[in-house]
Amino acid sequence: MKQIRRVKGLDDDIRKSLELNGFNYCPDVIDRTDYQLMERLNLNKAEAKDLTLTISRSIVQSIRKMSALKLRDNIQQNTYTHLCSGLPDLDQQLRGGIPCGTVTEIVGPRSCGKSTMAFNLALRVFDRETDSEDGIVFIDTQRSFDAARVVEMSKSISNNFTEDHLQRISIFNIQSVQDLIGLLNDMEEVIVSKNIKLIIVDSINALRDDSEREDKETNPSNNAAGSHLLGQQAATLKKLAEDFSIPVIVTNTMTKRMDSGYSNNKQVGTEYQVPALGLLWSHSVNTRLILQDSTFGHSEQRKIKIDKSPICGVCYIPFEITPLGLFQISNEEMVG
Amino acid sequence: MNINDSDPLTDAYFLNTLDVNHTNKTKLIDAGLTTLKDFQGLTITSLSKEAEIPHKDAMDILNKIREMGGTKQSISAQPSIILSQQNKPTQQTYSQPVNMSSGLDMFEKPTKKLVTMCPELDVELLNGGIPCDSVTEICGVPGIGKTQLGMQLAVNVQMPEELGGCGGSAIYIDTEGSFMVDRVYDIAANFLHYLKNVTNDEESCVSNMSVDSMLSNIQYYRIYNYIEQISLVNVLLEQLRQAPRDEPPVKVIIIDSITFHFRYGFDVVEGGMAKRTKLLSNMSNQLSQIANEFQCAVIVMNQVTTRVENDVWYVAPALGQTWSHQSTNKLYLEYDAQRQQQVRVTKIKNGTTGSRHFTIVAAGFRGIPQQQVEEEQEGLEDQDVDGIGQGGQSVPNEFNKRPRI
Repeated sequence: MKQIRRVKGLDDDIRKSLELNGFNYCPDVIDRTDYQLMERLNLNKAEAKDLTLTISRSIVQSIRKMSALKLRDNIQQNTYTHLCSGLPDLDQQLRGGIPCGTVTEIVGPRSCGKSTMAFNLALRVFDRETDSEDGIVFIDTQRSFDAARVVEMSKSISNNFTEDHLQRISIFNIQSVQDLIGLLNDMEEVIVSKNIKLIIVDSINALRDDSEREDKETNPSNNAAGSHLLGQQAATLKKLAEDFSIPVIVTNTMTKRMDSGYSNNKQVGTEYQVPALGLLWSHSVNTRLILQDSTFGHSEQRKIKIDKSPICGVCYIPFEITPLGLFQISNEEMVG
Repeated sequence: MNINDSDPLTDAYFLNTLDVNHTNKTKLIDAGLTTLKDFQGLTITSLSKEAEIPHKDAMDILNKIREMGGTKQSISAQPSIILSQQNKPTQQTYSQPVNMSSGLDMFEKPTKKLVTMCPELDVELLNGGIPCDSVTEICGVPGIGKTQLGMQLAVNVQMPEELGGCGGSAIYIDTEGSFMVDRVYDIAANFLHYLKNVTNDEESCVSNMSVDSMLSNIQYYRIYNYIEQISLVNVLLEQLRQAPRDEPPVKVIIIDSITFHFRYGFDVVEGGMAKRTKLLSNMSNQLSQIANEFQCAVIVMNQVTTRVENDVWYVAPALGQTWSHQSTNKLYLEYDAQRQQQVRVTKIKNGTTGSRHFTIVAAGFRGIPQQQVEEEQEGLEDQDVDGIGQGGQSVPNEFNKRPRI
């Protein structure tokens, strides 16, 4: 965060007073109300207001702002706006694939193809029509990365898959939310040096909360300890995605929720499946794809549901899992 | 009689220069109020108490003193009269002049309304649309269409005044990174197409509008933490005051969402939640001031959270009790028992509470007529609710019959 000594247009007396009172960074001022500033720095109300406004102006200067038209031009100049998923209908609905600069969540019950889909998307990075040495970060929380499977699946892509490609996948094994946030904060160098074009976290809900909070021990059902971390985790992931304009993909499992009271869409006492980690996390991802298993007659049918997307409505895409990966099946085939 | 002779403040003949009736003059003298200085700092109630005169008389006397002073020296328009120029402004005297208007003013100058493109909602519940003079909160579960509505409103605000629109521009403050400019492009193109269909006139106000001009009227801000969010709101008022006159005025400010950066980092530090409440209510005050001063709609998106009360689990707007009282209007986006999207108006100035159905189609946020909802729900009984191809296009809608651009 910006240091106060870099803020222009501050009165010398106030600058000195800020320094003496231990105000070094802009948030130190913004965090406080006018009355708190008046008390701490011995100012009158007008001076306190002026101080807040000057600091605010200085912060606002560095905020990214532009007209929507300019934003569109900027995006159109970018050659990497979407990561093609290889499923034509999904790509069409999402206007080209998994969007860059945002966080996409792949949710589904156990063994429904989440990791396969993640591998599939990783391989698509190598399938792009560029000569650049693109890299991938795979943050593995369950030791789910299966190199042999990736090599097997690589036959599906058109580019020749070599050991060099495998070398370009950087895998990080972590266990806790704190590790993840720490890792993400130090990620910039990796992204720049290895030309990273995709970040995958598989899976986000397997992370342990290492924080030692008293209320967590006394009240194990209190999940408040995790909630601030989830928000921070989401903000860090989003910032990384946007700063480098790359897609971030996280996988998550479903959990059962027993609804005992009023909810807007379910009746009392029904049990149903929701993505794990709760509503706060649900709000935090930009796009959510749910992998569903359902039985139609005798045959099992898998579908991808676009559950949340800023660009398209809810829709379903049938797919199948083969040794070569994840493939779309056409609607006619499914009916037949 | 001669004020110029000596220090006007201690002029002993001061009372004689005042046009006050004899009874009151005696009472003033009895109370020891003879010179201009004696009157310094007196208010209507304190003067009436000290001189034992009615409030009305006290007000007249003070007004006369102020009028007199007005000819001799500059008097500031403070509630308590300051009779001397030497008085330095102290902490107490720092207050902004308060704008006063009568009920009649408000009646004669109706506020503009921002249409949502859901006619059932606009006409039947909102009395024309979202009011352009207050803060409106839009809550909803993830993925229901809050951002879609936000993008739609950023476009709708540009409907020309000749057609009953706001004819303004939009500020979109994106805290979540969900603003998709390609989607806004589609919404704008469809909206423009709709406007051109309505007017049918080549010479009309719509003819010089283009999708590009509509996009350039949406100012986009990307916010990465709550410090930036607060700072931006702090300077917004100043920025709007300095906005160039020749550009369309800002008529809607959308914050999508106000919640995201306030849901982490606060519950770990001591006193964090109290700080959060303070910061939020401060921000909300500034937003309603902006809404009022510039007659623009301020839309804040809020997330939902789960609450447990007596072992009953339910969904409620995030950010807690204090926040829930801050906004003037409240819309709640939710699914009804049939999994239909509906918007529930829970608090509205000059309107009716209730709920109406909506859907998100390729063209944007649209309403579904009540009759159609009933028909569909009958039809649903023999259909798979989670059927394939439930995307926007499949929902029959009057707007949807038009070709997509």
